[in-house]
Amino acid sequence: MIFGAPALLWVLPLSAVPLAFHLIFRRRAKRLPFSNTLLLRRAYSRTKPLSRLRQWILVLLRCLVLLLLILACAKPILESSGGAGAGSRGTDVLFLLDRSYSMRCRQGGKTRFEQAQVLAQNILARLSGSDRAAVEFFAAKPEFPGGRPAWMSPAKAAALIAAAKPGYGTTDDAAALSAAQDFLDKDSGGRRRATLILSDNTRSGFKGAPPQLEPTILWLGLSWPAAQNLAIDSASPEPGLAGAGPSLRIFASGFKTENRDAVEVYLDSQRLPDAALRGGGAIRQAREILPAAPANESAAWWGKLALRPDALEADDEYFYSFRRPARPRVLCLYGTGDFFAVPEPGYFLRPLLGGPQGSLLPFDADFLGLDRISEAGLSRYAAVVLADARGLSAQEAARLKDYVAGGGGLLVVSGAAADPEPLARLLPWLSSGVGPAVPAEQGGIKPGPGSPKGAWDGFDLGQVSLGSYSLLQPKPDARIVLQSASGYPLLVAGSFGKGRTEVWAGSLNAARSNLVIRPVFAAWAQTALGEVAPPAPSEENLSLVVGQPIARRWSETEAAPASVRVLSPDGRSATVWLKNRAFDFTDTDTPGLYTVSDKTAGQSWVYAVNLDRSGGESDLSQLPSPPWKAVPARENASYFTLLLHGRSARDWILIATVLLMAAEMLMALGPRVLTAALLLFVLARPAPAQQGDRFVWTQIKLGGTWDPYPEVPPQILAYVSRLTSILVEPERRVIGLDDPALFSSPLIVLAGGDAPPPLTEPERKNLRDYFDGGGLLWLEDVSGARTSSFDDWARKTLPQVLPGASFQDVAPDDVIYKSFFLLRGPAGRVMTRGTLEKIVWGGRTAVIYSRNDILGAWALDPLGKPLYPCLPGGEIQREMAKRLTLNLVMFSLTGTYKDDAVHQPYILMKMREDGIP
Amino acid sequence: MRFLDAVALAKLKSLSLRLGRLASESHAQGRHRSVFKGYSRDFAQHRAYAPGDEPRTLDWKVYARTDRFYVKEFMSESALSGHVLLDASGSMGFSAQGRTPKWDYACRLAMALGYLILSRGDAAGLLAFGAGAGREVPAKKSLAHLSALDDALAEISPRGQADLPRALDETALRLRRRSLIVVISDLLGPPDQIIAAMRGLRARKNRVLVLQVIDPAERDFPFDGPTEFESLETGERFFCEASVLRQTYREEFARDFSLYEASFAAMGAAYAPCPTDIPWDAALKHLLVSMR
Repeated sequence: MIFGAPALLWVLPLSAVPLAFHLIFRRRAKRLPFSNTLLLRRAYSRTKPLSRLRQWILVLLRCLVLLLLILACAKPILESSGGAGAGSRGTDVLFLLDRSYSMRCRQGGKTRFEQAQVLAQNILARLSGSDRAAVEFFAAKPEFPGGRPAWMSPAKAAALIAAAKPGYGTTDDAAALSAAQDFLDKDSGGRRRATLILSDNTRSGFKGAPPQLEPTILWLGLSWPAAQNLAIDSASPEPGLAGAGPSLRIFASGFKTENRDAVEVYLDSQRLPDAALRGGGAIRQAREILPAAPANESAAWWGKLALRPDALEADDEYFYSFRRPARPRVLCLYGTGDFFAVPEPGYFLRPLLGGPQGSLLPFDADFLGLDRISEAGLSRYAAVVLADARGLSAQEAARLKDYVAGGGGLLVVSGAAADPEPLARLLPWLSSGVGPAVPAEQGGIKPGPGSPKGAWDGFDLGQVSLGSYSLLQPKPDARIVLQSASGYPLLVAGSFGKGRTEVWAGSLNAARSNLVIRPVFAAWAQTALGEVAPPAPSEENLSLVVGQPIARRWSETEAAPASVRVLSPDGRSATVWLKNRAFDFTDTDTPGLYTVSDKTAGQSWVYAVNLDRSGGESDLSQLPSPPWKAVPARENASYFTLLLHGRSARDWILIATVLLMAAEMLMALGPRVLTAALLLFVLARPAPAQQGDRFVWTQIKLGGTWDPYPEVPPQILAYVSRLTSILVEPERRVIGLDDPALFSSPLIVLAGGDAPPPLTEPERKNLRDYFDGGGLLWLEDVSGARTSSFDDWARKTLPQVLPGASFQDVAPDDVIYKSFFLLRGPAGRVMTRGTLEKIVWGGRTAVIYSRNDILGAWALDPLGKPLYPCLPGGEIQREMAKRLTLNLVMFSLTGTYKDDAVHQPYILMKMREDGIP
Repeated sequence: MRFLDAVALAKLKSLSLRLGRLASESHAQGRHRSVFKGYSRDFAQHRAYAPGDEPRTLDWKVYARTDRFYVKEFMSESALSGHVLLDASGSMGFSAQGRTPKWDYACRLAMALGYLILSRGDAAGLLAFGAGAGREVPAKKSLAHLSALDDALAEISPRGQADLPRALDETALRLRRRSLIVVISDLLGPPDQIIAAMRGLRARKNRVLVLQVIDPAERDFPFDGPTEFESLETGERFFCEASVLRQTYREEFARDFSLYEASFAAMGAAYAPCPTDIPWDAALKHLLVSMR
């Protein structure tokens, strides 16, 4: 046996207190002079040994009671006897320590992780030398110290657990349990095996059904009190309006929280009054607009959102970081200076791509004469628009070719009237050949098979008139984006080298084509430029989750540094060398902002690393039925030790204590006192049914019409209770003639309109015994007829029950008529017979027989009015019937007690007081 | 007198000791009519002279008338010798709950009986036995002898152990037969020996009256809790849980009482228990009534 609270064993000597008291009082026993001790000795020799030792036995019992109480408080544990030699070989205990970030939940001033650590260390301190321990940390995946599971001494396990820190990962209980089960299955060795899962037992622990656990292993887990928690789920950037910055759309979830309308949000420690999280349910959201940045430049936003700290502070912070790259720039080359004059293309292109209000399209544009192409630095542009190829030299054509082959884009506007000669230098590598100009047919233009979906929605291409266009000869791999109404290709896109080329068969001159003056021109420009210079993503979200590596790859066109420097949120700095123009930084276990710096290019990127909220760790509600035995975490280590090692003996000890206390009481009080107490207890019990001092209306259930007026007995009892001092039982009693309760009823009522079945011999005997014992039977014929089967039955059966007895009329001066009220004769619903009848048995009235349906006079309808008229006397007859009923009840209780008239004045006075006429 | 004051004497006026044949069978000369013929003023009868009769008993007047010798006989008168045997052992000094000590109670009884004996014209003596006693006052007839009895009682204090059976045996041998022997004791000794000694007294034709003086505490044993009883006779101590012993003690006491009652009744000795919570004169009256 081991003890959960062994310190209490130090007070075990206190159990000898009764003995000490006994000895002290024995020493201080009063000394009395007595005449002679001879008789005393004789009496002593005659006393029974038990009596002689009574005091010592009492002392022993009291000592034992104290001893057992102390033992019970010390939480005794019986070591399990299951398994061969389980007790001697010790216990293997595997500690599974949850390192997910939900264990950071703070309750009672300590995090759950810290509480679990303390508990584990206390339990380990209580393990014996023959016990072994092992430790498994787990979050999203199990992890054993040293890389592989191993048994170790409890002290070493305690050190490992003490050194552990909570992480920021999610929980996967199933994986941890599977790994634990695999480990425990390997090496049982007949030892008792137990697993203590130091987890927070949240719903998020199992993504699916819990695994089947080995039943021979004891699985213990912790359960925690409910905790309120509010967490930021996400903060995603959204494009802002023109001239404004992007906005953050913030989502938060509340768990077990009150339904508050708004929750404060802090951005970089500054409260944002306009960004209160709102929402009626568990999900709240807000939008925060960030500072604006010039649209034509790259911009980056990063920072930290926070809520007011609650139980789980880790998920109250959210880091965001995103970049908005600069819009792609295109270079528009033109040949002559009148390019910007009306109706030349430049006049229409410049307001569209680079007017005073900036570009109206997601492109920025520069305009440059062909002759200055060498100054342009083409690599800076995503695409080149050759709006006017006049004067294109071979050198310039070669430069464009190199540019496209290196990854650039080129849109060539052939123009129907353009001189095809300069274009000839480009044709070999353009997406389409350019033929002679032909007049444009009626019907406008239409999207080609290679047209992007939705590019022309809302525009009427049929109204576009090109005047004339060049006959294009698309190359096999080219795509026709626009075509004429007859199906001739007008805008053909293709590729060359790493770049993209596109040819427009028409002209952008307003004198030849109405395209540039129609609204569809903007769509045309966006589609055409989009084919050669795909727009960059609006925002680049640089958010990661913990454990996810920070990675970046430099394109071939970018100048890649040899190394970058990564600054972690905890202040650590690391140099990461690039490999194949890319780097991976995997040490992202801490949420925060990670800064990656390229010193050579003077660039930096900020990455936001957040908790992995996809696992639902923020929901701290407990798993309702975990696969392990959940023990409240507030229990102390001794209780867990109890569970680990075996059964508690406390209950048995307490039972033994109670028995000993009862024995002590028996001996101390003596059998006489106890007998008296027992008698008192027995006698104090309420009487089983009726009797005592209460009158119970007892009806005999005999025949089919035994209960003609079920509602009448309560009225009669109320009447009796109101007019007399008789205590009545509100519920009537219905019995058969074979019921023992028959003999507890001074009055039994048998009513009926039809003949009941003949009485059996036991029933007759019972009824005879009842009459012999002093009972009274009230027979009531409710048929109201002069002859009835009930009457025949009564006149035939009663003489059988009481041999030699016969019915006789009740005289007008009989005590029945004055047992309470002074009556002149019978009454009832009808007056079938002018007298009551009775049978005298043993010198007293045993049966009273009424044929006037006295009970019928009581019957009421649902509205409380008399159900039947009383004939022929009317209401006076009804009142007399009621009084006769009371007289019969009183007669059954008092017999001939009121045969004289001494009570008459009192009865009359009481009637006057009660207002009874 | 210390144990017989005026009030006690007044109470005793209404009491008398009736001893039946015992007094008339006594050979001592006294005021009681004897069954024997002797010398007194009361004529008894004439009878024919028989050789050996003293000539002085001849009634010469009858001889003168009848010429035959008749002897004239007279009624004899006897006197009783009463002895009060008083137990003066230590146990007689017991009293509980402020009641009269048994010794005082016994002394009052002894003086009362002495008075009753003396008032009959009989001789009364006292024999106190016990470790500190051994005092004997010879029996005398004079009422003035009461003072001697009272003085003797005043000098005695109960202490030590008394061997009641032995004292009774010795008394039986020493006293004359047909005496009145009043035993006043608590009878807290071996009952069988006491009864045997009483039987010895009775065997010598003595009239024996036994007054058992007890304190109610000795009968009811009202003590409770762990108690160490110290014997007033031997000084030995006995520890017990009084409540545990009470029932058996009472049974033992009742058994002894029944045994005394039955044995004394069988041997013709008058017996009366005298608890000290009832007046001594009531106890005495009870004894005297029972003797009738």
